[in-house]
Amino acid sequence: MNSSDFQTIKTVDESNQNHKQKAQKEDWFRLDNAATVFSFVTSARIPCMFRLYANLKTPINVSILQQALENIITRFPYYKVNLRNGLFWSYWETNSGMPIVIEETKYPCKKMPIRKKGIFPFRVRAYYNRVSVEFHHSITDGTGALIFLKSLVGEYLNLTGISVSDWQDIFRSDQEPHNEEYDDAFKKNYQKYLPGPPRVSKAFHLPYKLEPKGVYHLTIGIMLIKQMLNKAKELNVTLTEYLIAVYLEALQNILFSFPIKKQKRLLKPIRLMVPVNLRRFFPSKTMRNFSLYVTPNIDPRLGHFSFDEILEQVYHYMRVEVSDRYISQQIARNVRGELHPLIRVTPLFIKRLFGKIIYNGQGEFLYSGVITNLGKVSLTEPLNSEIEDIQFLSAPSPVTKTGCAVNSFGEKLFINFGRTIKETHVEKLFFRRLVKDGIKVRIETN
Amino acid sequence: MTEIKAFCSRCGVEVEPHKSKCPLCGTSIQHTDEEEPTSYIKKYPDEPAVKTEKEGRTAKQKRRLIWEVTSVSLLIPLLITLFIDLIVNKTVTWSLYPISSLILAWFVISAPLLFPNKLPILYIGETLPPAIFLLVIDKIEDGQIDWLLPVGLPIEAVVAVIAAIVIIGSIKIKNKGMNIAAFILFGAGLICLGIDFIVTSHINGTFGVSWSLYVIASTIVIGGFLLYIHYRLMKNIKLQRKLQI
Repeated sequence: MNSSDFQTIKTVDESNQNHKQKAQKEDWFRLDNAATVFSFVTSARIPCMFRLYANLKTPINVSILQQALENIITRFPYYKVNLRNGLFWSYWETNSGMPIVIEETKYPCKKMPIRKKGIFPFRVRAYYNRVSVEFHHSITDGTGALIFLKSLVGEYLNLTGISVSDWQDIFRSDQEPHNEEYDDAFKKNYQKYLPGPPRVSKAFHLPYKLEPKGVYHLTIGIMLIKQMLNKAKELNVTLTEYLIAVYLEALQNILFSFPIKKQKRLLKPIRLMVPVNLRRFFPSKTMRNFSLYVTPNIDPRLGHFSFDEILEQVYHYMRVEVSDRYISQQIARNVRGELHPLIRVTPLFIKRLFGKIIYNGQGEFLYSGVITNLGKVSLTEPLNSEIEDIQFLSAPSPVTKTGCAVNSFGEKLFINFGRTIKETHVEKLFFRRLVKDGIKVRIETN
Repeated sequence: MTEIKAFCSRCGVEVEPHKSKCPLCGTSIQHTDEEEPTSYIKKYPDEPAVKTEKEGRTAKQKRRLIWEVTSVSLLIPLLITLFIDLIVNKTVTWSLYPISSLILAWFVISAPLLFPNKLPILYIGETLPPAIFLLVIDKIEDGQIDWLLPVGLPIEAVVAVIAAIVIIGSIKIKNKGMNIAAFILFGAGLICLGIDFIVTSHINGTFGVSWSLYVIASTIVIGGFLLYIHYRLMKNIKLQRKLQI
């Protein structure tokens, strides 16, 4: 890294610091790079909403949950905002209202009118013993949402009489938010002179008809984490790599199940989008978006891959690509675009018109599916004993049509598939592979 | 009480006890009589995922109806003028002008009614028919294409581009008011400038503008005043965040 790189980082950092100070002083702050893209593309078809939910051991008292939400929201001022339009860019403005706990719906992750005045970029739902938080991806990623859910559940249980001596990493309402939590970490870690990553071609997509807007089918696979870890260990891969390989194999089997003529038409690389929490590589306390993705893939044009071949390919790909260098290239490409003088002075409505085109070129059209692993989720004792489980659900997509979100809580691993189509072929092949590998799987649906 | 377990014989997965079919493959789940589950709490509430259509016509049906009525309304004068021309002159002569005008009107009206949300089709639907109309008018005058290429099409292009910018800008902008009037004025001024430039260049053979300078000067002053009034009267305007680059 040469001195100009440091200069760039410093300049962006200083600029970021200025915005942060403005945010606290002037009750508004800019959108980060990912947020801008998500704010452009959001629609009923692409709601950009993901969910985290906790099933408690006792039914939810909605009025106590509302009180917990009101208490805890002061600790998350960067979420107590409303998306507003400027002439050139959108921005987050402090929302003077108070979020309200609302009822559950049959299908999760429905569209949120994010640009409407007074709308928060998240919602909290309650149903029997379940507390769900649904976040718009323009405000935060899974890490931020998980911290929020843990804090909300912690506060709720505390209000119901559960006393906690050590809150560990759970945010409390009496704490002051740290300045770094406001950070636009993409800009902070932007290295101006890095080349962008190579372009990739469009990927194979499931050729099934979409369900009506708003319909999002869930298929939840529940299994023992120990069994899964043992299996991954037996194969000498990580759990995420094993699941990626199973997902790729399922998509490949679907592709090769079609008649030859249709196969030829669909024959494109099978590529998964696997979000990576960048806080692993670039230390940051930001509570806003700070994740990008790697894209393990197989190319069925080269022939049918056996499961072992897929696993080997995924293993080596992940070893190479999951690194700060390659991720930095993505940051450089994305932020460079945002900082370009011509783009900066282009009016917002024109940016939004082109936003979708860019998203189609660089976004989900390049991927056949999404798999995101939030890892082990845990609160602190005695809160853990009051919680049945915590689960994660990825955002619906009309392009990849299926998405998979994984996390563990206690002894169980939860694989939440969401789909915007009727056909269950991906889930069927995915879970059948796990059963074939000796894993006991329980399936639940909505 | 032990938990009742149900399995899919094809997938090998355990399913929820109340399921009669495997959620993965649709295979029937066999329950023995004593295992038949009695009640359970649904994981998600039942509610229609998509709003059921309201009684009466939908917005799409209403637009379609307006389009039909408008089409018939335009067809009547078209046929009347055609028949009168045929009766009087035994051939189609002057009626080509009103007929082509009515057809143009039909295209221009049809585009937003049939494709309200498809911007590219809408734009083509609003710009291509006038170009064809100009071609027809130019052609029926003396059978030659004279003024279409040097004057007609450039003027249409100027009007189409500026009108699109003004319309999209007016729709997208928040806090609508006198600023919309200002945008229309600016747009009109620019159109005049464009027309003047094209016509003057065509007539004199040199690039230049004349009368439109008076128009553009007036629209800038009046439009600027309207913008000043609009934004001055807006309460709590927060320019820094609105104008961040």
